[in-house]
Amino acid sequence: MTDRQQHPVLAIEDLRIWFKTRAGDVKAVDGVTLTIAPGEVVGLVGESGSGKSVTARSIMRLVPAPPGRHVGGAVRFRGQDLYALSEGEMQDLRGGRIAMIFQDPMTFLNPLYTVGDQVSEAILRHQHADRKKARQQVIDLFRTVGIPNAEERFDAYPHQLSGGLRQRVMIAMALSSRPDLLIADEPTTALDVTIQAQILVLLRQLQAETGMSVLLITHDLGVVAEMCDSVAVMYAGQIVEQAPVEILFANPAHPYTAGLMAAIPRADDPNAAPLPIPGAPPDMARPPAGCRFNPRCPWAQEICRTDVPTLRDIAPNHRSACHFAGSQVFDWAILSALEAGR
Amino acid sequence: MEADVALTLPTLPEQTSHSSASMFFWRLRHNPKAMIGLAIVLLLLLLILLAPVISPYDPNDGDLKQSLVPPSPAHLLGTDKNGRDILSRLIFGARSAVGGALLVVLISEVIGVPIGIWAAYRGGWVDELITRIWDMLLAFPPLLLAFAVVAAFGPGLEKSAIALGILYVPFIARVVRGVTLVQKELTYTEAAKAMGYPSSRIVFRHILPNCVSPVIVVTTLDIAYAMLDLAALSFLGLGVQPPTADWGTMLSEGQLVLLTSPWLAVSAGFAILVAVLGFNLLGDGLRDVLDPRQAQR
Repeated sequence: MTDRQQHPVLAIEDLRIWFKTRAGDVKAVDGVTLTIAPGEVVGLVGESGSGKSVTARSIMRLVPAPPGRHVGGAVRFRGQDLYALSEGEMQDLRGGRIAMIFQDPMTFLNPLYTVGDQVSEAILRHQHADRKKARQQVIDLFRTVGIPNAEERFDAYPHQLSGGLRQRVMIAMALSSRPDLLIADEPTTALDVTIQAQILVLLRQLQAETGMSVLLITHDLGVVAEMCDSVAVMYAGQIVEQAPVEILFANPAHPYTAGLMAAIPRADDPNAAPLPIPGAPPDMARPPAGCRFNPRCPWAQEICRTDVPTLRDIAPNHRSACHFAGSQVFDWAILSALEAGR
Repeated sequence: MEADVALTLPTLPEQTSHSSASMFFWRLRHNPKAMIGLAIVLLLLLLILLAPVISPYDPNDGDLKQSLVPPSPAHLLGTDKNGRDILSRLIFGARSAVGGALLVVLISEVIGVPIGIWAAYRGGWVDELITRIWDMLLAFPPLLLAFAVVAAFGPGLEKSAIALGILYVPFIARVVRGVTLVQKELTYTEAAKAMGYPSSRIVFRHILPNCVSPVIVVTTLDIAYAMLDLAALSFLGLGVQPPTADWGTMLSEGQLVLLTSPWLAVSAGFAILVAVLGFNLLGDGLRDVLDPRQAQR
């Protein structure tokens, strides 16, 4: 057990994935460092275009190249650098030890085949099973993920299922090989709220049963609070803060995280209007010098415009990439900002 | 025109419990364009199969005393200048017209489908190079290039069909490339990759089946074009060689006597018109029937 804790399931080290465009290299992922322990659920949050999805795809080496390019850094899965594997070895890992579920339940299943057929295909790809065994396994999986009338649904085509059921089929497919790591790219964004809650409960439950690690990508801090053990906040291709969930919510240590929290509408206080973060994320072909958040940061100082802050420990398990994180003045400023939002 | 057609399309039954095959035939039966086209095409195929049985005379057996006889009970469509029965020659001519066109399309598909998929799936410079080459082919009128090929290798139905088949590659490859580009961007292709399937499996199991409907449509339309082009080559003496019965050569012979004996050119021209129309209607109808936006509902 201690051995497993020392060896994280996934360790991303200073990963850089750039995209070639006419305007120059877009640094979609620019120095991301992130570790996931066995059985841990890690949330990756950030606004659209912050590089969350590219980070997720780069773990699976699914970023199309060209235009994408692995510029530097490593992705270690159980200690092994995935960028050193051959394509064939990588294919055995994908859908096997590492599985992924996607955002859009409408298009991730091929409309031409029945859902049972498609999940069987996944089982036959990664396990030694014959068609009959695979069929039984699919039906069991469908029951596990809460698909009613599992046996009849086996022969249903994707268009005959609702969005929520399709998302369950996708989860069944991803879990069919009992992966060590599940990457969930905004798995509930396209679903309506009641179904969202059901899917999240299901994911949490399945995670507890199987003990797999989960990287949950979302822009919804509510989902993070419900689901995750720890959170990494991403801004402009970099991780700006990482902490266990309770700590992050109680004591955010980066102005961007504080801004995200102040922007959440509050149900408990109808008078508190959500405060948007002014401005827009930077053009990633020409990111600002110094701290990338400085043009939008209300407390930006001279040093923020010149020096790039590094992600450093400010408390046990709590890391922030702000020059002033950990200082008293900073804590006071963040607190007052959050109060203003209340 | 398009709007009229859309209005006559049948509304779908609510329940989707029918199998996709029975849905297809239901939609086909209720599409007048497709049914008329299908009827003409089936009639042509019947003519080809039964030609020796149903044609009243031997198509190559001329009676010079009966030269250029106008339509009469003995010769329903009259005779040509060698005294051969035009109806019989038309019936036998369907063989080279339809057979040649099928050969053209078959060749273009065998080459074009893999090229289209490969270009789109590989992307990058491979795609760039292939599309540039077929843009060059498309920039020339196909007939002009066919002339050049026939001039180099000599006249004949097979040679002109092979030449046209190669020239038709871009037409089919373009469509397949478009479909593949769309499929490639869909989440289920990415999901298939994320499940660890190799590229070959993704192409054959997930992308190729999605190309079938558009390819069927393009096939029927291309057959119509190929028939016209082959007839044009024969008309100019580069395709089917006399005395074999062929609509193009008959048109060319008829043109010489157009003012005195118009029935020769008119009947050959009419045969080409009806056959091309049949394949065009079938292709148009199939496009409506196989439209994924309607089929998937």
